[in-house]
Amino acid sequence: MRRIIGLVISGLAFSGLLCAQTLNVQVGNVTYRFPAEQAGVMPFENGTTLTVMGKEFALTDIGNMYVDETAVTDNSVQVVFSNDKTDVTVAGNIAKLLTVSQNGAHVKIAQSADTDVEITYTLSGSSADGGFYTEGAYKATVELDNLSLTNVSAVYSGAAVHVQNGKRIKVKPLNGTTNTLVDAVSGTQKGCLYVKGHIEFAQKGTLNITGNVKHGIKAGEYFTIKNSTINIVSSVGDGINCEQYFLMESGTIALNHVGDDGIQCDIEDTEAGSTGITTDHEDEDTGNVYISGGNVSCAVTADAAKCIKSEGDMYITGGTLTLSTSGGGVWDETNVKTKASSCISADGNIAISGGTLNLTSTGAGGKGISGDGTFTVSGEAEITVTTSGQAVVASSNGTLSIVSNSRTLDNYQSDYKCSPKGIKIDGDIIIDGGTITVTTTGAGGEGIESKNTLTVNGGHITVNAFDDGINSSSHMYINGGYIFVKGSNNDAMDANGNMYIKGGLVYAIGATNPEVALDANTEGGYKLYISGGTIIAVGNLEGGAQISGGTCKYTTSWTAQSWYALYNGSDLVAAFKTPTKSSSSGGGPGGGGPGGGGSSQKLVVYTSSTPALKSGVTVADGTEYFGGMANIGCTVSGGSNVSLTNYSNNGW
Amino acid sequence: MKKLLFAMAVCCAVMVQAAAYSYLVFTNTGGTTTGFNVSNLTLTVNGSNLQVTNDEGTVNLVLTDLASMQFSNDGSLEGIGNILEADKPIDIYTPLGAKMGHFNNLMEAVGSLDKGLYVISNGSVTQKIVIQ
Repeated sequence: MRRIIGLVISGLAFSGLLCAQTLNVQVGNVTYRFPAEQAGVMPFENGTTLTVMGKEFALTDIGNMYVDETAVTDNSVQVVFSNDKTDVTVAGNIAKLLTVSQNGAHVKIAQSADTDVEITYTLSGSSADGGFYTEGAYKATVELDNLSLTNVSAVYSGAAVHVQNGKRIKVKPLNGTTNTLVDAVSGTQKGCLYVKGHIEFAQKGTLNITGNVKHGIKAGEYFTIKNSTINIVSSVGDGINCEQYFLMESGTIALNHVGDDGIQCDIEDTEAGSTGITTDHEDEDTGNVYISGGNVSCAVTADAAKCIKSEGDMYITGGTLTLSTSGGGVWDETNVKTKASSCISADGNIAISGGTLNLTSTGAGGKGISGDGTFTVSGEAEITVTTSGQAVVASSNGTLSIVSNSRTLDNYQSDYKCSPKGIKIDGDIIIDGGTITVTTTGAGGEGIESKNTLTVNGGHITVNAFDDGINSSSHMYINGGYIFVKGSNNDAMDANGNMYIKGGLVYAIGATNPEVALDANTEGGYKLYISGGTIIAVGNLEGGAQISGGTCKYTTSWTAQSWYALYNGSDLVAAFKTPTKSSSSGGGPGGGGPGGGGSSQKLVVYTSSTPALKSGVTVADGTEYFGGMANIGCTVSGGSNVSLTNYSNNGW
Repeated sequence: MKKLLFAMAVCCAVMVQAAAYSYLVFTNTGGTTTGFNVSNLTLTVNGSNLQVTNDEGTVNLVLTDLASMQFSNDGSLEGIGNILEADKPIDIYTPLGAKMGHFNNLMEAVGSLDKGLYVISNGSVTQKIVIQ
């Protein structure tokens, strides 16, 4: 049995009471502190050098040595900035591992390749022209203790804090402290806070960042945050730019005056591509964004900028995100297509199962959510999207212009136009839960669009769209949930394949002829299938719909803004109002004129048994949806029965 | 009760011994040692000399004559840091003061003890050791 003997000089609890002696060796503004119990034999060599704990000092470099009772924390370095200089203190046990250079208030600390302990650098004080630079090849911690640092001269780096170390770097704005970093305008740094490796933010302090050259914070590898508050005051490039993955558990990130994206995460190894998600994210390089808690607020103004962008997937399971874009579109010459802003954008999939998202885009073509992969919503997620920009189109030479008429967009191929959609997904959309509210008011502003299939199994969806309310390029499946959708200038729900309604409650309000409430691609050989659930449709159904599993009826006479009660047999299902009156309801400026439904519009209802309608009912209690146009769980009284006509499979 | 008192005594001894380092001892190239009390001790390189100043005064040591310096509890180098290397009899105690035994030297003790924390004493110096 091999036995290793180690001295324990201060291991027991009572050792804290000891009055330790410490040898302080000062070289310039650097003080090396050697605890007496660790110092051992300190050899002199030829009257020219002194070596303490492996650290060799040229005697001519030593300004002073003294013994005091200062306690020394192993593996620690303190850097105190004070105007035009820094005072650096190095714990004796790591002295031999570090080479400290100074130039005014700029300090560089290089770790030797032999470093095998984690060193903690604690930075404090302030300087109007200073910077901290460290390099090495072993993980480290950087503590910020009320540090205020502006880099002007860019001596070792233009970054205010630069960690040229490809390992895990913990950055800790210490609890209760406020720290401010501003980088040098004259530098070439990638970030005001630059870490070559991966950043792990921790502790409940605040860090204010101004990135004058490129990004506010740049991590060459992954970025995680817990508890800390990061304010990007401004940045020329992204507020936060990282690679591998971005993970936020808690804390606050506020991004203001950023020149490009708010947060951008890319895949680091572009040749090998994504590693896929790994256990505990070990060695993960996916370009994914994970947000499970905390607060993110971001307002981006650049054309085609994104508040949060991932080259991989995006997983949001908690937290509060308040994101807005105001920039317009751009012409991407490389990819030959128009691009526009988006609050959330993923090159991969997007999955939202929790949290509160308030997303607003006001620029031309600006979207709330855009993704190249699939989009799933579940759990208690609350998503509110508002877009108010018009569509942007490009001529053959890439000249952009804004259009305010949706019909004009039909003249452009897909790559030459960009519409202000609420949620636009290239892959499948699957909604299992959560609450989604989308409002669009600009040309081409579809509420929710999938370029593939769209499935709703649960949740509450409310859409008020300028264009199609909900659109799928392929089939659409409604199996459950509550869907309140209005397409002001197009279909309420439009499937360019088949549309299957098998469950849930759908209240759809389409525009006037030729638009309908529920549209399947009959011209393409597809069909509207209704086999379950509850439907209230203002506007026509797609002709030739196949109805089963219940009864479908309609009326051509109804009035606006009056409560109707829909019954399935004798069971109250919901109360609702319509925004427009029918053409045959007469009275005032209704009919087919302003405020009236189109001449061919109908109010269609479908339930699993026999639908019945009462008009003019009084509604109490329940929960209102659709801007007060629907009420679920209410009680009703009064009213009069509405005469309904059976739907024919042959259409109307 | 005796064990408890002895444990306290050992602990106090450890505190006193480990806390001390009250001297900085210089050894010259000829092997001669000179100890200085560390109270307000400063060392300044002054040309070819090392100027040593403490509460007792100032002494100049010729740098080229110096071989090493080392902290000491009593101003001498006897036993300092060498307790683990010295081939001298030692006593081993548990952290609570229970005597584990008397050994001819440390290596003999190590061969007889399990892993753990112990207090080791050669009569003039007391330290803690961990056997792993």
